[in-house]
Amino acid sequence: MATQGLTPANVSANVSVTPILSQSVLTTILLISIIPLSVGFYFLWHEKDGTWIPFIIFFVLIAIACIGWWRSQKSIDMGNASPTQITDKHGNKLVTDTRVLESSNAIAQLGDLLQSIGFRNPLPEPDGMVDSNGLVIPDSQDQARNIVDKTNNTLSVQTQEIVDLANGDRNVVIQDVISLPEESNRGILDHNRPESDEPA
Amino acid sequence: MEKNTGLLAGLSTLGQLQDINGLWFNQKNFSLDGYRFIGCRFDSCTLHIATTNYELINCHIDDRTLITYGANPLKVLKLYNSRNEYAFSHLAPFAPDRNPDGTISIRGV
Repeated sequence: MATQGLTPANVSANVSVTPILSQSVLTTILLISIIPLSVGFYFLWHEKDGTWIPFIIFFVLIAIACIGWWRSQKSIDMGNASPTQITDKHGNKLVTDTRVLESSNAIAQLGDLLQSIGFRNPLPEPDGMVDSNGLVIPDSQDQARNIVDKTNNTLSVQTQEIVDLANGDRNVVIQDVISLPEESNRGILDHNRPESDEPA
Repeated sequence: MEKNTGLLAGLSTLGQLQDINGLWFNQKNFSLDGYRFIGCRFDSCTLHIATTNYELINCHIDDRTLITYGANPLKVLKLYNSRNEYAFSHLAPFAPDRNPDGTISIRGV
C-alpha cells in the first residue's frame, strides 16, 4: 500500500486472532496426577510413612486442572461460534472472535478502535507553520509539508504493518482506513461574518 | 501469540489520536477525526467531523471556515439546543424535530 497526501487507498486485512487452546495441558495434568495417586495407594498398601505426601500432590494437580477448566470452559464451549462482525455506514468492517465480546470493556475498545481508524483521513497539504500566537511563520511551508507527509506516511506504514500480520480464519478487516469518507454531513455551520485579516 | 500481541499493539497505536503541532491550513477541505491538533490555524477551510474522536488544543479557526457535522455529533448539538428557542427558529438544522404535541424528536443515523 502506498498512500501519499490525499490519494485515497483501500486497505483490507485478514488478521488471525486464533486463541491458543489449553485443554491438552489440562488433560496432561490429569494424566500426571495418576502417578502420585498410584504412589499414594502403594504407600497405603505397604503401610509406609509419608503416605499423605503423594495424596497432597494428587489433590493439588486436580485443583489446578479444575481451576484451569473452569477458566477456559466458556471459550471452549464457544469454539464453534461464528465470528461477530461490526460494520459501520461507510462499510468499515471489524470482524472479531465472539469470545472477545464477553467483556464490555473489550466491546468499548473495539468500538473506539473502529471509530478511530474508520473515520481518519490523510491530512491535506498545509500552507505553513504558525507560532504560539497563531501567526504564520514566513517560508515555513516546506517544513509543514514534511510534518504532514511524515504523519500520513506513518499512518500508512502502521496500517501496512497490520496488513502484513494478516492471515488466518478469524478476521479483523480494516477497510478504507485511509480514504476520503462519503459525504454524510447533515449540518453545516457557516459563520458568515465580515472577513478578518489574514494572519501575518 | 507473539503475532497477536504485535497485532493488538499495532491496532492500539493506530487507534490513538495523531498529534499535529503548529500547522496552518488555508482553504483546505478535510476531516478532523482521528487527530489532535495543537496550536494550529484554520483559515477559510471546510472542516468535517463525523465523530467526537478529535481534539483541538490552542487552535485558531477563522470566521470564514465552515464546519460540517456528521450525523452523530449533530445529535449532540440537537440535544443541546432542545430548549433553545432561537435554535428552533434560526438554526433549524441544529435543533431537534418539534412535534405537534410539543415533544421533540432526535432520531438516529
